[in-house]
Amino acid sequence: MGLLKSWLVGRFGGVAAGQQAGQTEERPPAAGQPQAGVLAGQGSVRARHGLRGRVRHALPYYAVLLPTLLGLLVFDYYPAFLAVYHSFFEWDIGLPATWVGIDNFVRMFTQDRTFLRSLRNVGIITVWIMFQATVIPLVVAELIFAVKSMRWKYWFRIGMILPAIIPGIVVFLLWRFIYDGSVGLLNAFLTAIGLESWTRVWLGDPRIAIWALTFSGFPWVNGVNTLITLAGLQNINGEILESSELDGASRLQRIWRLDIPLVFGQIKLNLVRAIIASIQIFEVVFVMTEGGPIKSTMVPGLWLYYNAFNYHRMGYASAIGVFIFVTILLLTLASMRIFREERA
Amino acid sequence: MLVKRFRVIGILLALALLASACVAAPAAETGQDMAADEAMDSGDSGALTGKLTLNPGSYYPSESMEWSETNPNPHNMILTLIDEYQALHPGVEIELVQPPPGDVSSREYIVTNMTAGTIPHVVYTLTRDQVEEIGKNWWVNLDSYLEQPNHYVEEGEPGSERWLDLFYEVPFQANRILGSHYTLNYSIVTSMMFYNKDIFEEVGVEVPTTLAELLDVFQALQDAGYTPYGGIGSWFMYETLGQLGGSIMAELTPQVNPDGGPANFEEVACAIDRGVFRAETPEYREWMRLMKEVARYRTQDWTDKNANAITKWLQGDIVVVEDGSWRVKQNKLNPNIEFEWGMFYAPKCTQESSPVCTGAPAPPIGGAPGGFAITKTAVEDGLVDLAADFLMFLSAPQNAERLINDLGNVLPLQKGATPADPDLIGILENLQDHEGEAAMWTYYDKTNLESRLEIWDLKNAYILDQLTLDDAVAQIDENMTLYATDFISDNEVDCAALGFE
Repeated sequence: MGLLKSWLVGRFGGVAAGQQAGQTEERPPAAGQPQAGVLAGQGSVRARHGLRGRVRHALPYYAVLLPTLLGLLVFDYYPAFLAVYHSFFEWDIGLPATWVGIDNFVRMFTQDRTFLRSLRNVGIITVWIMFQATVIPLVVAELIFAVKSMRWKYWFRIGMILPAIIPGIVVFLLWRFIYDGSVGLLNAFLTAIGLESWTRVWLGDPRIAIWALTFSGFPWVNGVNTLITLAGLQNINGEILESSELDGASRLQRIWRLDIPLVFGQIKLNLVRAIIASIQIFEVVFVMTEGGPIKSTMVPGLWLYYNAFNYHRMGYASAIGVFIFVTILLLTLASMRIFREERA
Repeated sequence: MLVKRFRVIGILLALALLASACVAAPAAETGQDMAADEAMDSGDSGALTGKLTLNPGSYYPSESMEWSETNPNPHNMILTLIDEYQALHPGVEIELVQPPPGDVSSREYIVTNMTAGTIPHVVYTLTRDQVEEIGKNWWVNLDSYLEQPNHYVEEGEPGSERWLDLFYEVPFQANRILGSHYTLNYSIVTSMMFYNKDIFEEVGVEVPTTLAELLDVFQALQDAGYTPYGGIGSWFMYETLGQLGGSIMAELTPQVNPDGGPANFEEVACAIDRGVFRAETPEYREWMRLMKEVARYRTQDWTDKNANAITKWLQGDIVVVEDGSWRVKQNKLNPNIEFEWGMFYAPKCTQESSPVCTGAPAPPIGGAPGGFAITKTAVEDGLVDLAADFLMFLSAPQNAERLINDLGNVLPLQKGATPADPDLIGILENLQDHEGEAAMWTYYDKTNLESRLEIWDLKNAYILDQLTLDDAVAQIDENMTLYATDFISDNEVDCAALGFE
């Protein structure tokens, strides 16, 4: 371990021993890239051209960026900001909006039993998806990483990515049939192995529907997350791994003390994507249960939709949208902060 | 660092709010202008020329005229009628607009297209969906047109002097909203119990006429190893349970519906508000208890939205299924049904089942929930007169009969038009001569969508033992009261003027 530690300190400096290669080090400029001094020199040259010259120089670049920026502003930022604005109104489509201040937000937490239930449901789903998006891909990536044959490694990678190209809706529909109370595969399997008493109407029982929904997608291997994690593992310098072997580290020790710290960036990315996806969850619930039975699988995204398009409460729906946005923002920032502290 | 980031986000949000306020404020003003505009009530003076867009709902031609399991009602009569109308009016072009796919509700389609300003001039809609949209000036008030003669009706026949007289009064008038017609309700649908005659014969049971007999039949079927009962979609029997409620609470009718005739939204809201029709009453509680009794015989998966009771009935796995009048034609066309089938209405509730039951007949379920409506686009394009004239043409008995019978799953609402299927004639007579659902104030359609869905959930929670009867009844009562208070206040309903003390 001592050898390894001295190598890490030498490579990354004392502070960042354990950080992933390439994240903090100052890389030398690649061939063709200007060095800092050259940039400074260019800057002074540009300054001599004056404002007009600088504008003329930069104009083509901004012109290329402009359509993307405009698209972003019009189709992403403007609706989002409009939702924030409307969340302070009582607004039924087709009628004038009435300012109600924070009433919509107060109502969400004090009067709306369905919304509170949806929070509980999304909490369950988020915890599971966070686990599913980080731990399972790490385990599978480690298994693939351990395969010696490059050819097999290649096929395993292909195997991981193939399911990712199947549209999500197909998977949800498939699981809807697996869970079918009458002709579903799950009940048929349980009956075949003598567990008939365990058979259920999985999506029709309000006590278990949320769990059935949450655990759909077995074996829960997310191909994209696995490949992201695998890429991180493959990016670890072979010398480090060799050093750990020389130091007598077991496979588990290596994973715990080396691999995980060095793929922290990838784990963090998977985690943030999982948080965003789970808080926004909509399609799977809509397709499989429509939030039922008895709203036992309702989630905020679907409740937003029902309020907007069934009950025409656009202001209230906007408030739910703002809540979802703020929750994702806070959870993402919190997770990034926690990971930063962990790493430090 | 985190605090700094929050500060930046806060500033960005504040700027965004300010910017959106500047942009959105004119939109709110526009809405106020629309509300003040009275153009919708009087129609306009457009000539019979122009291009009319029409979304005819389920009358839109099927993809093929060949029957299949995915195309159980081949039909295309609307094309013929459009051709005939265009021949009568060479200056008119009618463009058919395809309805949304089955998993998009007509309400979502209408709301999004109304908001976007892309709604066709004439659309097929459900009257109950319009209740909350009247103040938005989305729909043309048809009253003034209904008072005019329908010149497509033969001289001397109902409707030739006053268009309104063309329709069966009770089911048509039941669809007034605050006293006015915004939909030209076009056809009648009804629902009933369809049963497998072969299995009834095998088990030795007869068609039941009372609730007690129905439960006995179900028990006998269950004892014989059959699944007795399934319902439309996943949420079973709300039609039948509504009828059961009508039978149980028949004696309250004079108080809820003092003027007789169709029970309207205002009367039901006032009855709730004045405590006449409430979930806490003994009758309502007994209704809930009996629902649970019936539910014991349902298919196991009735709570699953994906459950398909009809398919199971067609395969002989369920003995009795509740479905609409459309099943008659679909069954007759279906070559795969291998058993004799029949149908019966929901039975009445007698004292044998509960001391609150009086033996009053369960009102026949059925009504005219949907029809054609003229939208704000027709007003904007000056095509209201043309749209109204086209609807007169479509509703003339000789045309309505062809269009409705071609689809074959509904019954004509127009006097002088008869169903093609002799099995449906008796059903239509039953509905046109009795008030049925029109007067049935316990029917779930007599509140708004939100209240209705919430009450369904609470009833299901009780049936599934998620709530006690007391808790379910208390929450339903709270929901009903909230709905009625809002409805009365939003629409300035004068309950005293309707006969409520």
